[in-house]
Amino acid sequence: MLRFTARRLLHAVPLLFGVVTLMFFLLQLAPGDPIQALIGDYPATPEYIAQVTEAYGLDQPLLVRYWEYLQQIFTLNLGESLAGRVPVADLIADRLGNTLILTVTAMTFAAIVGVAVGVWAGVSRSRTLDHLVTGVAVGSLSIPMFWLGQMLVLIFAIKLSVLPSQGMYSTRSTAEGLDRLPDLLTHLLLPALVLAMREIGVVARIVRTSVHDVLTLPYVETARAKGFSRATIIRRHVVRNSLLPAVTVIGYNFGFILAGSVLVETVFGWPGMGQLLYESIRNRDNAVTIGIVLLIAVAVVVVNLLTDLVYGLVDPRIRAGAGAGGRA
Amino acid sequence: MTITFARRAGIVPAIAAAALFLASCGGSGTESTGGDGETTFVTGLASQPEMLVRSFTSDALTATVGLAVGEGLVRTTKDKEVVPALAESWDISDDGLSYTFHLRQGVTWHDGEPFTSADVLFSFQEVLPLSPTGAVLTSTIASVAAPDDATVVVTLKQPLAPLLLALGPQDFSIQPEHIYAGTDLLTNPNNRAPVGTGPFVFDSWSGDTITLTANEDYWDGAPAIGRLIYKVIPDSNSRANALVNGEIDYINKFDVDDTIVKALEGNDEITLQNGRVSATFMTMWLNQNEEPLNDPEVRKALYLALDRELMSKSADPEFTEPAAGSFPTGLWATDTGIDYLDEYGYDPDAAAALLDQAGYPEQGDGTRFSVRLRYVATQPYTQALAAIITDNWRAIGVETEPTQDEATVNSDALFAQQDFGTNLLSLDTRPDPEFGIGRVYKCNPDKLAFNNPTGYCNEELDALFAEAARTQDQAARAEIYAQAQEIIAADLPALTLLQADQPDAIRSSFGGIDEFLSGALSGDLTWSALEP
Repeated sequence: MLRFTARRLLHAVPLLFGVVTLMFFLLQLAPGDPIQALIGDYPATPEYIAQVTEAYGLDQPLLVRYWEYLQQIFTLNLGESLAGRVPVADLIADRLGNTLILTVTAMTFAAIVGVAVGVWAGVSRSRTLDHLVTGVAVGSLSIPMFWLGQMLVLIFAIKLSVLPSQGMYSTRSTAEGLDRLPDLLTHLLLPALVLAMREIGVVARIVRTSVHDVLTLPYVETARAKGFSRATIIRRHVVRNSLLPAVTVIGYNFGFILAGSVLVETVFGWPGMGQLLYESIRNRDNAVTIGIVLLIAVAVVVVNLLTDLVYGLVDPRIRAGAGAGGRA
Repeated sequence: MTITFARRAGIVPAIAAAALFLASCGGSGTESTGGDGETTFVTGLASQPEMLVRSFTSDALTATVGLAVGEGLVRTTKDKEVVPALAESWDISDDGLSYTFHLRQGVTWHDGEPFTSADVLFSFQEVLPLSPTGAVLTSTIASVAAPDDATVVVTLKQPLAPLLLALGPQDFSIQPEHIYAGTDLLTNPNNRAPVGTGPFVFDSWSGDTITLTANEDYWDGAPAIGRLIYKVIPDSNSRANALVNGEIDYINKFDVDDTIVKALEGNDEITLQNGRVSATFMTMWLNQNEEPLNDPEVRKALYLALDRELMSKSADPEFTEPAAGSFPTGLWATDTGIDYLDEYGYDPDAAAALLDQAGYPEQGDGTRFSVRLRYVATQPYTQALAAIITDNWRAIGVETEPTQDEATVNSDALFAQQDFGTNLLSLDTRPDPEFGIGRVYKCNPDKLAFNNPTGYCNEELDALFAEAARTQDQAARAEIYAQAQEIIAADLPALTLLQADQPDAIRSSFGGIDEFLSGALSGDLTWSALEP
């Protein structure tokens, strides 16, 4: 197990190096000038532009800047934001927790609802119900998040006035500490739901298929022959064994949830990393953009690793295989 | 049995949803409303400000927040009148070269240190050269002196009539010497937690929320609003929704786009007020390095073919009007004798005839030539305008090749590469023609961004703008500008399509809105005038 973990982590190094390199050069290729984006709609003098360009080291050759950036990253220094001259790490640290609150809630919600709906559709003998669940799952996959977000805001915030339209806390609230929890939950409901929607569809479909498959396996037949009730069979034998693909999907889709949070955070004014990424791309604040993408890459690597480890817990066969170094 | 199981599985999310919903009902109890000095005023911002000291950046959002904390020597009202701020009064020498500022006495910085002429001297010497919008003044200023604690004398190399307009807080806010002296000004931590002299004191900046509190010792009296909160809401639909829903109280005109105007129009709880700042022209530059745009007759024909009435109707009839000239209507410098709508009114037949004369007859397929059109799709009205332009020009046999750009790509293509035929860009005319209008038409050999990129260069016109900047008397300046407007009308290096003015959007329940919105620049707000 330890060796497996170490090897997976080691594999991540070239991957992260690739992410940094690709991002660095892609952002250089992108049209538009960071200095002009910084100065904005104003005719600044050439002296001023030269002065700012030099101050940010943007007058250096590309490869020199790349080398300097790599050295920085190696010492875990993500550089400074072009616009605010604040360390990128501080900016991200300020937002990371907020994004985790949103994504982990959405993920958990998607897992619970997705598995429940999937099992329900899988064991049901009603074809109508099965079609309905599949249809809704496909629908939830296809609805664009920003559209769904806007619609929910229009209904629940503007028409019914029961939920806030945006933000993480009421701007006027003076509550502190734990007293802020109800306020937070109110603000969390819509964005987490929208973010979870797509994953619910994915998970439900996978679990449904998996349950269908498991139901036809010989050991289910055997259990039935032994006289176990249907509920017991489903609980003990079918659900546990159908969860394996769901764990994989949920884990591997964490990257999608993080990516989706960019849209959802923008629509709902959620002060997380996604919003920061959106702003940094718009402002050509490349250090911030690379920093966030790098962090997302690290998060995906870590979550995928955790997924593989959980996989082992759920399925002893894999644990045994990994122990023998046999798993690729 | 199946159903029993399914029900049990569905119980967990149902409970979770119910819990969250119940929580939502208790959530609104913590809001504070009403009460003297207790009221919170919330401003929605389109993005995170770069920092909070406007002197070091041209970021509009920095001004919206930072100018509640920091102040300039003077301010400009929406009637383009210069009024005192940190300078209580000033004398200008007869030759227009020497400005003596008499500073307000008894003013203290938010940290308790007294405000003196040393701060102003320091700001002229160290802060002004770092201001993207103010640095241009440094080449005009010969020297600055502080003969005593309450006086500052600025001497110019040559007269600059609109100097006071250029010393407003949006271009030059006074910074505390005792905090900045001897440090790297651009990275000083004060830039994100500023100490100023203004009506509100910086309290905190956490994530997407900035909080300021009332300055009880403000020289003009303590503000009636106890707390200002700024909240970043990047999406314009979400910003409009938050204002309708009462989660925020105000959106600065810089952050109001046509989506927001459409969402808020007709809502009694929201006041949309325009006319505060210098007008914006939706401008089309014509690249004169390209055939046939280098021919003035072709430019006239293209202008005649454009239906600007329709453009205004389709963009927003309330907040736009067809442009009547190269200077905005209502400005003292505008020559009312020139009317583009009369001289170049919509007339496709005349346009076609003019193109025939100029040697661009229709080819076999009914077209004469094609023109490129670049614009930033996210700028207000551009999409609607581009569609009308394409239609209008096709009617006279001119094909349009439109390109939608992202803002930074667009400015790179226009100003650095001159890679365009025609374009659409929203350009602010600023409080004085010297700063906002001259740049559209003057020669631009250094390829400065947001200055004339067309290659058009008329030395006679440049001389007129230079002379007007040196002239002190406003009537005499207006005469010089009238000559400039005649040249522009004859040469048409750029076409002004719409004169637009985005409104500020504020919840109608607040008092003092008119005075709050009396400043001439988008970020210069009279925060101390707001009342609950």
